[in-house]
Amino acid sequence: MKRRVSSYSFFSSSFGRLLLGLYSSLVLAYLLLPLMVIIPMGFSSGKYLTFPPPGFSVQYVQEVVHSPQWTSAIWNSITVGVAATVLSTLFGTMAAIGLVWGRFRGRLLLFGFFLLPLLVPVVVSATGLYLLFAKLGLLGTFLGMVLAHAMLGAPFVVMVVSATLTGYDRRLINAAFSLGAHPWGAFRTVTLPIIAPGVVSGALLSFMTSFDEVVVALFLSGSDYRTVPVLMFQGIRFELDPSIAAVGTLLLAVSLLAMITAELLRRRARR
Amino acid sequence: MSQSSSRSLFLLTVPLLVTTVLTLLAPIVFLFRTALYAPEVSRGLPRFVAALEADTAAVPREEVFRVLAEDLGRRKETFEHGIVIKPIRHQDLELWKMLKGILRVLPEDPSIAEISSWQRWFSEHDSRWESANTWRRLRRVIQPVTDFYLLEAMDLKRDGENALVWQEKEKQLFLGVLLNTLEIGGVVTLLCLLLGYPLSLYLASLSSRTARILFLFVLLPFWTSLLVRTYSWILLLQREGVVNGMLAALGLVSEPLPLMHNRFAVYVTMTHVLLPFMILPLFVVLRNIPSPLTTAAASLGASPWRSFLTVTLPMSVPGIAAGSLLVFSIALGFYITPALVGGSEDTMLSQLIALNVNSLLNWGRAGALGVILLGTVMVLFLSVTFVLLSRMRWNPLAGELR
Repeated sequence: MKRRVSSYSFFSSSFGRLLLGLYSSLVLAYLLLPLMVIIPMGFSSGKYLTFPPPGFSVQYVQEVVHSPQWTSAIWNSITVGVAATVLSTLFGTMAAIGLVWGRFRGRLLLFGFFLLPLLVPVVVSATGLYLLFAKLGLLGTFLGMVLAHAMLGAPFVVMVVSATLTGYDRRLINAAFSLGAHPWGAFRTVTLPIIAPGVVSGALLSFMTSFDEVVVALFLSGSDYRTVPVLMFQGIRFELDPSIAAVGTLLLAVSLLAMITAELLRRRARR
Repeated sequence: MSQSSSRSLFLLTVPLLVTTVLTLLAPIVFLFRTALYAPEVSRGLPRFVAALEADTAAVPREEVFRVLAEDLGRRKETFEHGIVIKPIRHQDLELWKMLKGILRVLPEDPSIAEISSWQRWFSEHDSRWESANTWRRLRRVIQPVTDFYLLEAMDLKRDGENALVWQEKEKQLFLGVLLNTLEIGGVVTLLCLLLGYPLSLYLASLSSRTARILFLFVLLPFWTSLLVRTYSWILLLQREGVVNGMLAALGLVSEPLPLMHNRFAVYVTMTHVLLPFMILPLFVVLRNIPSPLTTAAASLGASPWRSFLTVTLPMSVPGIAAGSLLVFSIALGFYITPALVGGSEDTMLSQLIALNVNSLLNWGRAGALGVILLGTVMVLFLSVTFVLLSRMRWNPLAGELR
């Protein structure tokens, strides 16, 4: 540990520190505990969403697995997510390399433009996409959903990969070139291994963005192309179906997995 | 690498540039277009619109009535009349009803119908067709380029003399929703700051190993689906929910408390969802304050509280600004959470947009509300970012302070 933050001295008085620690634990509990409530509900044996659940059962998990509505939504979510991730990761990585290594005018402006999807309220881009896709006949199609989700995920790839690249010594690739390496060979053997953790983290963020995205999916899906979040939103809104708790538990597990993977990658990248 | 290859690296950004232009910029341009441009009437009833524009009288002559009947008849034949007069329905409901009335009684093919005076036929059917007021309003709603939707979205309209006036009291809705949206965003930002700042301070003061483990608790909600988090709060707060169940079991309440579908639920849930966005920038900034500064302050005799107020707090202002900006601008666009846990009093701008896109099919209004939401967020974001960037001279691409 290199340095300690200045605030440490403020709380050198043990009472102040105790108070701050107590307050912080409460905030952490507020962040974390509500997420946990969904797990017992997902495995409840009760007929309704009562807490505490009367007993343990996998009835809702079974219901979800055997419902064609849910399974097709899961399939849609995965295929759209993977396709959008491939697109955004490929284009985003290329753009990040061009931005960090290139020496052309307006790089910072272009970087800002690529982050714009994060800034524009999703409802606004969803409405615009709906109006445009209605004209182009892309509503309720795989292609339409993939394009929209790739747009939403790309900023994460651009951010993470360019952050990885700025920390990486460019003289390495110059050395490869001076040793006579072919540009593609230099990229494959020098650049790619270094930026790989960043690319994978970006891809992970991009996939989760698509997998969890509700608003654009709600606007563009129509009745033919519903993803898991769309089905969940409609389920919560209209009937409060208890099997949603089971789906929620599943999504929570996916998030946990994604987070742990990203965290491990980040540590590896640091070494 | 040579100068030229450094420049040609621009080509690598082209695919993403094209994709982003197609899927973000083009839709936004389309949104503006929809908000300002409703060509259906002038396209669907072209001869009538041309004839009316050529006629400057308060109540036009026979010719205009005749082409109106003929144009309407032609659209009715192809069942397009509903689409063609839809903008009129959104802009002037009374006028739309008058046109619907005409469409109902219109003879099969008006151009060969034996009617000597269409003007008389119109006024016999509905005497309002004789009034100059009707025609003044009709002249306005046939314009393809209109500021009607943008004005409506700000509770404004044009009166008979084309001057801007407030909408009637009972029709005023949009400014209230905009204020609601800003208020919810402001309160949530404040709550995030109140909860997030002390936690970030604490996390920043821990050893990096402990901080990293505790930080996972902040990151897990960040990675978890928005719907899962909102749904968890529904399970907690609903009438038969966890909180009410526990309160009843402890004998603290006899009646379940109304915790859902109100402002309280919106604040609690939105703060929960947005808190990580406040903590991340705050933590980074607080962690990077050089400790010699506070040590120096302490060695010069400053009390811990004073050293916090004079060193740590001012130095963390960029983190406070970045976190607040992030939370506030994301909060302004919230749709899912207020739709699921809020009541009718807590409607936010995004919900109104979604309602107009998906249920009311009033795209002009949805577009105008979208333009207003986007404008608010952009102005806010760009001005704060500009101040931050120019004061800190920070270049994210160089990865260093210039």
